[in-house]
Amino acid sequence: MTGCLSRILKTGLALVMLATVTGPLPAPAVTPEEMLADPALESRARALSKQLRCLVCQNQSIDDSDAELARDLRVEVRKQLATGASDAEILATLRETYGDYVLLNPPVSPGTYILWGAPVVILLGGLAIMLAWRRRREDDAAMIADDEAAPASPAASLDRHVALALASLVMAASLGLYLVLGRADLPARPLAERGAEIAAAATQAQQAASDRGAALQQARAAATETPDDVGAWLRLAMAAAASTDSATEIMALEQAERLTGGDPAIRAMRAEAMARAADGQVTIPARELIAGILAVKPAEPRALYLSGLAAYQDEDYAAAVGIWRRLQTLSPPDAPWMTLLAENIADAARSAGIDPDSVNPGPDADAVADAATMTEVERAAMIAGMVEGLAARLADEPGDVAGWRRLIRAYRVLERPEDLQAALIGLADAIPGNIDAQLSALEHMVVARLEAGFVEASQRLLDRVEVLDPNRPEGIYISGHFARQAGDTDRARALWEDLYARLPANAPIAPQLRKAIDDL
Amino acid sequence: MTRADGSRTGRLRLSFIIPLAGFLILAAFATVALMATLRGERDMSQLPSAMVGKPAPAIMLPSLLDEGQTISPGDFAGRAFLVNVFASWCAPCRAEAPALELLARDIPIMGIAYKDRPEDSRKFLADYGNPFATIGIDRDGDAGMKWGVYGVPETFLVGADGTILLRHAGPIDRRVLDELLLPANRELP
Amino acid sequence: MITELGHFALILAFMTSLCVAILPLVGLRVGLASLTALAAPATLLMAGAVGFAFIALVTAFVTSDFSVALVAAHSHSTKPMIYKISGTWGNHEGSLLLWILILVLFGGMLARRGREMDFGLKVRTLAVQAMVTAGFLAFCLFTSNPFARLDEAPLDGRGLNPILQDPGLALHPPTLYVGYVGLSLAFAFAVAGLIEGRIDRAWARHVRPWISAAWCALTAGIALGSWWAYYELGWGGWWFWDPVENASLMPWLAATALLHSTIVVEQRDRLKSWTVLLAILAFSLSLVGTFIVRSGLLTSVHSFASDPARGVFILGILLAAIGVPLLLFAIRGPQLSSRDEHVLISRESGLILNNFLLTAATVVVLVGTFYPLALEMVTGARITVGPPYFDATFNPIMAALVLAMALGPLTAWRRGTLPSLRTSLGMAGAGAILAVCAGLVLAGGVSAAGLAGLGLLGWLALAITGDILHRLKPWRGGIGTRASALPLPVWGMWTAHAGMVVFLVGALGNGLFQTEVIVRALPGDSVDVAGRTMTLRAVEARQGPNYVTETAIIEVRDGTDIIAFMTPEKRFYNAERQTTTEAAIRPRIGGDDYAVLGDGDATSGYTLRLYRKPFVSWIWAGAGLMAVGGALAALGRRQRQPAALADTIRTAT
Repeated sequence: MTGCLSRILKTGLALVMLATVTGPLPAPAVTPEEMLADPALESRARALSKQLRCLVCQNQSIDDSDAELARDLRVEVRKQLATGASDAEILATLRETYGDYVLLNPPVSPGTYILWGAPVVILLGGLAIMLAWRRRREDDAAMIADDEAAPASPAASLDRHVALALASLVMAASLGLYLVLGRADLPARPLAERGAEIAAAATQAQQAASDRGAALQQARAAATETPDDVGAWLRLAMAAAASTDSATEIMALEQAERLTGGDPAIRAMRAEAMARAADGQVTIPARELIAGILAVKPAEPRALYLSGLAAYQDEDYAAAVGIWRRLQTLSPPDAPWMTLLAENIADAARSAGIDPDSVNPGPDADAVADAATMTEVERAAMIAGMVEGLAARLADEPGDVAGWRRLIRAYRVLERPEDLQAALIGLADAIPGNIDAQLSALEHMVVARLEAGFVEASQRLLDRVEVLDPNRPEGIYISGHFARQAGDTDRARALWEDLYARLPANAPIAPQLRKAIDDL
Repeated sequence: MTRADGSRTGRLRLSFIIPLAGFLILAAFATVALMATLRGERDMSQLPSAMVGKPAPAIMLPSLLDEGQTISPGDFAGRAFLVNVFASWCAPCRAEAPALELLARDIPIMGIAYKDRPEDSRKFLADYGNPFATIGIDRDGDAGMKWGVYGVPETFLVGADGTILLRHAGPIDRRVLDELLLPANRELP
Repeated sequence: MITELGHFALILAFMTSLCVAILPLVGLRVGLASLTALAAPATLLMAGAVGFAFIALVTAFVTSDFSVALVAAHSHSTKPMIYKISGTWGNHEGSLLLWILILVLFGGMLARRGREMDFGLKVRTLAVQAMVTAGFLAFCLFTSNPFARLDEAPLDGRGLNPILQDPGLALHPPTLYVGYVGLSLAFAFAVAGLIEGRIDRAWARHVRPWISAAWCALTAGIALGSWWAYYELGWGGWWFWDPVENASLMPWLAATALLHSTIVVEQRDRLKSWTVLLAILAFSLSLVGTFIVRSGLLTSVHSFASDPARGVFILGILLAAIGVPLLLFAIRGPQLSSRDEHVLISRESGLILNNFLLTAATVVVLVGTFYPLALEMVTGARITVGPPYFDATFNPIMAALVLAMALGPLTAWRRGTLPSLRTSLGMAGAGAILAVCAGLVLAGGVSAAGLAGLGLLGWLALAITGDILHRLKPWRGGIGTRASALPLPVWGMWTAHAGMVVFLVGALGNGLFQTEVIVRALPGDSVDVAGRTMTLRAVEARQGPNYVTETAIIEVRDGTDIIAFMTPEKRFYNAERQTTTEAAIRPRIGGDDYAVLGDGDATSGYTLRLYRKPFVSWIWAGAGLMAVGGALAALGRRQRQPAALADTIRTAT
């Protein structure tokens, strides 16, 4: 998966409205082919067309418009005229199917009484007002001011100080607002000064394009030469993907699939290619393919990603977040899709209005139910997959104590001693101040006889125990044990003697300890 | 300045308020319209259909997938069904395919391939899925005109008695699905 | 750098406008001369700052600085320079800045020029103008900042709609805005008068030139838009009753009424409240026009990117800028005194009738434009109010106006008598009959409405001729002195009214007598269009600066002589992937030949639409004459008309 999937995500989201723009080329207004032979009918047709609105245009009649629908309506009008319908009948039929909106001349109906009445009301009302004015009697001519009599106010002259003070205030306020709104940090980039940059970008783009083309050609040649080499087909698919040649990509992946007997990873790649071919939309055939993959391999990363994407495109954001979180926990932390995945999860979570971290990344109810119906092998595989993911994640985030504990539990169940040991040591390292963790790790090492493989770790753990609590009996015993392993019997005896001395007389392990000392 | 004749003055004063009143009425309409547009409730490109409440046009169309057969809304007599007008050259039709798939589980859908070559329609269905119970070919848009179609995609909900109950112009997204069609379906037999 | 300086300048202008809006009015109230004196100089500062900001933006476009978001969105490196410049205002933010520039320039002009004005009036007017400016600057800076920058400057822009790459369109918005925004000054005068509580003849004398100037620009701007639609959109129409066209017509109608109404205030000290209302109304309609275009409320070919969020801000500005003055009008309006000596037959009555008809026409267009919206809000139904409605309602009102136009100038101010009107009425009537007969003779099948239109045309034409003859009396000697004695505004009136006649010739000639021929033609085919033979010679592919074209070459013959070649095109613009049609037009005084190339190919032939449009360019010539008339009126000084001097009145009539 590459960054192009983000494009898939984003383009998949753009739901454009009615598709008249992407339709076939628009027909020009009134073509000669549409025109009727009879001039009288034709002029009626033109008059009618001027009365009908083009529904997909902005305020045009079907007579003026270039749109497909306008042409269809013009043809329809002429068809009806040819059958002898009257003008009123034609307008009525179209009004039946398309509503009042299609008529440029609004019909007189209860909804338009005000519209048609308005001019009359305005004229009559205006007349009424004017007549009301006319009858006004005016007898206080003296009250009317003549402009000669009224003294003009003298112009005031500018007060320097006030002006200056105000000017400074305005300057300061402007500067303040500018600092908030402006971007003084960005330099101007006039085109004339960017010649080198543009040339470089152009050559780069050209180079990349020719490289991609060459790579595709090479890959195609290689695949034709060795048609049984899965790798060759996969390389061809990658090259085709880079050149956005979805058809070739899908074909190459089909070959690879055939050669590997339907490998889930390759099938997932094909599903991704199908989505790319459909401008990023996870189409129904792609979904069927993905469902098939996930039935066999529930942790297939690509399939999971696309399945989340499908939910996102269905606007089922909560489900998308759930699926993608699962993918996140299953993936190795250095997987190339992790950043993109995180972005997508954030995006979907925002759309769903939920907090992504609150979504439990562990197996959700569905997965658990699925696990129950799986065969033993499948379940083991699923758990193994989950565990692998967890281990990988912990390698990156060794401080996740809860994670370590889960991993430890898992390895216990899976009965994988070495891994368990490593996990125990991981936990001990994660909480170096916890003596019990150190001791658990060491004890397991002893019991499972894994000392040889973890020499350095054991020393580290022992040192910690020493520092934390030198008097802890378990610690002393294990120190002695490792000393004996290392061949330092004197030290071992010294330690165990010390321990023996501390033990109460009736301690159950006392006799065993005695024996161990004697065996040295 | 006051006038001697009080009543005339009153009428006159009133006429001074008319401009303000007129403006406030206009402003009220504009505000309501703007708020509705902002909330997304008002979609300028969505026309209310004049066909709602009228019987579905009983037009026979040649079947897309079964050569020589014809299909019509009468095929669904006694049942509620959807009619979806689509085309291979219509980008939003591709986007609504999964939604149609979901709807098809509850209610049969009759498809009308609008202004398309049959081979292009078939390829579209192969690429994007076929949720339709029956599909008719409307090559020149005549049938569409009887339904009052003005763009693609459009979806009609037809009741069991053959009356058009609803028309949605544009692709079916989740909001339309949730708000319009599913509740409408549940009320149907 | 300069972009950021421009940004700062704009902010500076905003802060200054806030000061001018508030402080001088406070100063007048409490008598602080230091504050009132600030109005004029600060207004000049605002003008300079916005001017600088505008130049900064133009510079960004000219240098193709794609770090400026606006340039990246609306320009392209391959665009011809003139369209890079006009691209500055070919978008929402840039056109808003242009609007503000004109606002402050008008304010600045008033600040410099109005020396003989009453100082209080001048200060209040500047303050109101600054309030409007502040509102628009706030809208600009906080929601539509033209100086927004991009962190990563792209290597090229996203180009401009090829339809907008056109000389007519470069000029249409600036001219129109001078008209719209010029009305802001009349608005400011009116509100200032209401605040002061005094509207008098001096007020009218001072405001009238500004109204004339704005009206002149508005006429020119609308005419340019109509002419541009005619030659660019490719189907020969010149008016569509599109909501945004209506939005420019309404202020024009109100401004025409205002222009005439102001004359009455100046000459007769009457119609004050109506004049004030018209002044508020005219600019309010300009503001409403802005709202429509930028808010996405109504669909229109003109809309900028529909953005309801911005619409809210504009709605707020409108509520304040229109609602408050109208409230003030409701309260203070009745106090505006008027002399009342109403006589039925007088020039005054004529102008009152004129006012009334124009106001009625404005309201009718307003209702028609907003009715679909109102109905949708109330019942959810969607209807269309298109040209047929306006033809049925607007045209009759205009017809009545043309009737009245003939009579007004012919009557005396104070008292006209029917007998004195008789000669003039006689001439007008004769004109009407002549025109109708001519129509019937020259072309058969003219509709009743068409004949009525012709009649009105004749009526007005001869009435104006009569008036000119009456005043100049060329049959007597001394025409020179009489002519030079006539004030410029009278010449302006004759020019503007004559412009109306010319316009009617164009509108009727084109509407009634147009010939349209639609054919499918192969190279070599000929067809007859209104007596001319048009032959398709060839269809060629050519390359333009940023497009490729398919050009048809049509030979036009009159009889056997070739009189012209016409080359209609279909263009494909590479960067924007858009196709446009370029009609071929042969403009002549008697009429245009108009050819459009449709679809087609070499085998099945090409669709050609060929027209002969008689007198169509008279439409815009008429509008141009009207604008010239307005300019003359703006430049001239009307004679003073003291109430008692009967002789002066007689001389002027």
